[in-house]
Amino acid sequence: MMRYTIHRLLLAVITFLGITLVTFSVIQLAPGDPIAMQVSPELGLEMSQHTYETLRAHWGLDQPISTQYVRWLKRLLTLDFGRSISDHRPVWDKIAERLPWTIALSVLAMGISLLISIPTGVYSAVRKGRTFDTAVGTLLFALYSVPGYVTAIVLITAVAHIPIDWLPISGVRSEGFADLSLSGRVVDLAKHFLLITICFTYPLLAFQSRFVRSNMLEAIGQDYIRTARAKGLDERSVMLRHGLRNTLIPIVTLMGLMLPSVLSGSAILEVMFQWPGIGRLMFNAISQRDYFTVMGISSIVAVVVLLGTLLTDLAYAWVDPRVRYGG
Amino acid sequence: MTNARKHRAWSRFRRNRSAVVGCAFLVIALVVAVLVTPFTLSWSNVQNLRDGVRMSPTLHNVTPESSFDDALEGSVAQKLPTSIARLLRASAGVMGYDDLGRSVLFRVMFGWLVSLAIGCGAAMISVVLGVGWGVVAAMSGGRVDAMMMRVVDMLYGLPYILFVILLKVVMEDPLTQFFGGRATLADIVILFIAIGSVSWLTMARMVRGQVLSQMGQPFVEAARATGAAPLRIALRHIVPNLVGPIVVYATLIIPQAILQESFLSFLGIGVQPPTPSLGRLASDGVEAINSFVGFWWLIVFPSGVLVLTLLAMNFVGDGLRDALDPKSEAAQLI
Repeated sequence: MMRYTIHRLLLAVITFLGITLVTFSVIQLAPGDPIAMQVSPELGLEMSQHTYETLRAHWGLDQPISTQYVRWLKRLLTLDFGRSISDHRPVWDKIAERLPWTIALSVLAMGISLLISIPTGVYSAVRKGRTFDTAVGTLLFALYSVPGYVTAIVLITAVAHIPIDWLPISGVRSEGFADLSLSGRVVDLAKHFLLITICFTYPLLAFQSRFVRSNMLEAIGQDYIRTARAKGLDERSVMLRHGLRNTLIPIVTLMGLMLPSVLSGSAILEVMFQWPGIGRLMFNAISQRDYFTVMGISSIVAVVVLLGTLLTDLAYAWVDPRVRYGG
Repeated sequence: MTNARKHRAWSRFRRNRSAVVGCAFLVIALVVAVLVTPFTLSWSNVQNLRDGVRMSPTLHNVTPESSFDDALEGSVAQKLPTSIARLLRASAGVMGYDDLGRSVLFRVMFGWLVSLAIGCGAAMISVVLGVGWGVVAAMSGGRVDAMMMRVVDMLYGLPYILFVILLKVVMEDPLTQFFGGRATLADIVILFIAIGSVSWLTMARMVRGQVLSQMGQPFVEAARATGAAPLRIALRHIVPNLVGPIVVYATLIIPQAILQESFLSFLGIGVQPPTPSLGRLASDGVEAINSFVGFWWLIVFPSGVLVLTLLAMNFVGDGLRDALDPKSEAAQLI
């Protein structure tokens, strides 16, 4: 097990280096220059050649990409992501103030969708082919085909045009948030979370329910279910104690696999709802060619992705020893 | 696939009502698109700044017929029966007009085809790349396999928007030149290459896993014992057995790619105006809504068509999955 763990860990480190190297080259090769983007020619502002050169040298952009990458890696060893080119703040700070909002949203969406999808999935599997299963199945499938951002458009327009004053459609806090009482603050936050959480949750929900249902169906077909029934257990405990329990492992795996896409996939909703999350930060950083912020965010996302895969692999190897020798 | 299996699969597919309805919808839409595209290709850009600007849906066409006729000058559409042209022209206003007085119906019709082309192109690329990569990795085994799968892992962890932007930017000029300055065509090709080259990864993983499990089967050993070369084993014995999961997976990639294109267009990095795509149209509609009051038709029609198309495709994909391989890994990962 030890050997296997070390092997996987080494592979993860190599993959991480690969990801960061590719990202670094990609963003640097993309046309557009972060220094030139600091000034807006349409406002009549211009930068002298001298200032431009000095700034490039200041950020180390005059060096070859390989030198820059090595320098970036060296700083990373001391957990330093450098400063943002667009506003000179440390990248760590920028990420740290955005990350909680994205995590809160992801956890909330994942949690709600799990709470709903496990019961619906299990019940659909138990009642396979009956009215409940077909009706819910069709509904979820329809939901799965409606992109979250389309729903966001509909909700935002609806709130804007049928004046619903109490429902905010952008940001996370109202003006005067600091003056509110504790309960007032909670209510205010909840209001801001409402719409974006809906748009974020239901595609996950549709996907997960189908996943739970198909896994549950597979579990129900196994021999141990027949054994449990033969023992004379009532149907309820057969399904919950023997069927559902065996479905939980794939569900946990799915969560691990979905985490990265949930973390980075919310960019469009964050942009639409002006949500101060990591996705919007990434989107802005890319359009401003803010190299170091882009690198910081992609490193963090890469670490989360790799950690997810690693933990899943290790858990599997721990449960099933054959994996250790096979891979 | 043998005839008997094909027959069984087909009868299973036919019994799935929603899949058949979805399939019928797509076929009809495709036939309509083929008939109208020669017209919409030029008509989707006909403006009417005088009295068409942001006009709500109406049964009367407000754009003068002469501007439509002028737009068709020298195109193949002039050789087509005039009845189609007349019918189309008469219905130009049913979905309203956009902020330049262009017919939303024509833009949605043409945009649908653009989105579909990007989806199908991306699916094709990911099938070719993914199947090739997965088969080669699994058949080579050992160090080559490990290296190839590490590359897949690496690309998996890359921020996907970044990759698409770069591919787009790097290929823009050469491809536009290649297509003789036709920016629209170059735009579509770039997008499907960009999306396709990101979405082949799951396909490669799936194919590799399937090939590995096939390699242990007796019929592969038998083939090897008769002295068949690895390439022959791969092409004649293994890949034909994977047609089911590959087809299923490809049909699920198309709606994903269409969705991704609409994301990208929404964020302003997809197809460039004036070329319409469903995502582009929806995002234009949103901009109009944010600044003025209620031009609902600019949003409802493009998004509605997008949702219907995705729904039909997902139904067809689901039906194919049930029909072609009722018990595969792909069945769990939508």
